[in-house]
Amino acid sequence: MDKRRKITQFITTLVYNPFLTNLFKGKLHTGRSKGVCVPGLNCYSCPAAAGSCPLGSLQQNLGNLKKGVNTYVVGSLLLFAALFGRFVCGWLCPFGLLQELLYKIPFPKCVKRFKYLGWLKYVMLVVFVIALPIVISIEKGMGYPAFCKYICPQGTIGGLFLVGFNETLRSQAHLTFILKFVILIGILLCSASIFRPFCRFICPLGAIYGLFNKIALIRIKHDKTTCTNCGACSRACPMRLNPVTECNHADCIRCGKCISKCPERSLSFTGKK
Amino acid sequence: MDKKKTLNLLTLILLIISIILISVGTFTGKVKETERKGNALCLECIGLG
Repeated sequence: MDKRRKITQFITTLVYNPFLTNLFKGKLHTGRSKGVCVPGLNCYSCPAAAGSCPLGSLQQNLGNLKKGVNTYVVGSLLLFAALFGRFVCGWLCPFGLLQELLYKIPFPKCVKRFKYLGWLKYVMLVVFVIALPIVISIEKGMGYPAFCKYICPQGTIGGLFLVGFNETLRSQAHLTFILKFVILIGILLCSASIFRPFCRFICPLGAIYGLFNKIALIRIKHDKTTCTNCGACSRACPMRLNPVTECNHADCIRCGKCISKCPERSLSFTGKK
Repeated sequence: MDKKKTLNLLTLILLIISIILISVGTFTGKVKETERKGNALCLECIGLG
């Protein structure tokens, strides 16, 4: 299953970012496809991006509520959440793939769960995605995507290409860009030791999808009658969860490693025997 | 009603709500608005704003 997941992750990364030549031209792709929200975290200001990031679009909308709620963006987020939950994180997110590839680097691994640090992503969601864009846009009278501006490392990757290949933009790279660059480097370095640190502790999009994990169409089901409590699933879980007691926990990214490792086949995706 | 059926019912309700929201957004020009925002370079998003 892991091989199938990796292939899906690579394909979705390419589907979200097909305009790779734009990376070296220092310009954005523009077109009708930017009206489509993609399920994963993929900045629309990345030169290669074909679609729009739901989190960025949501912040843009919250910063401009005079025009009314963008029901299309909210509806898209709800649709992805209801269909997939955090399956999006495990199978359809390019930044998740990047972190997983870095985790393959031979380096001492930290296997602690950091249970309380997991709450940070909800703080990020409330403060940076909802509160700050609303409050500051009322004061300033213009949109203010606070999470994108100060934290999102995914946007910084696109920004690095734009700054590198566009002289006009290079002159505008000041303190905020340096701050975001430091955050990006920090997350990438941590990824070599901790499995998906951004997804586990920071990502507000994962926080939104996680809230729907228990009711999403794609769920993991646990058959108590065949389970022998051998612990193979919890040892295999890269998110440090115990699938027997925490099946469909908000942090479960549906990577399916617990399903593959279960000797009794007690765990499975819904809809599969 | 058992737990599984309740969860499936909730999923169905959510799916219907999301499809209604997307349809309303499409007919009120929100897709165009999203497209316009996506096509303009968001300096904040890349840390330049």
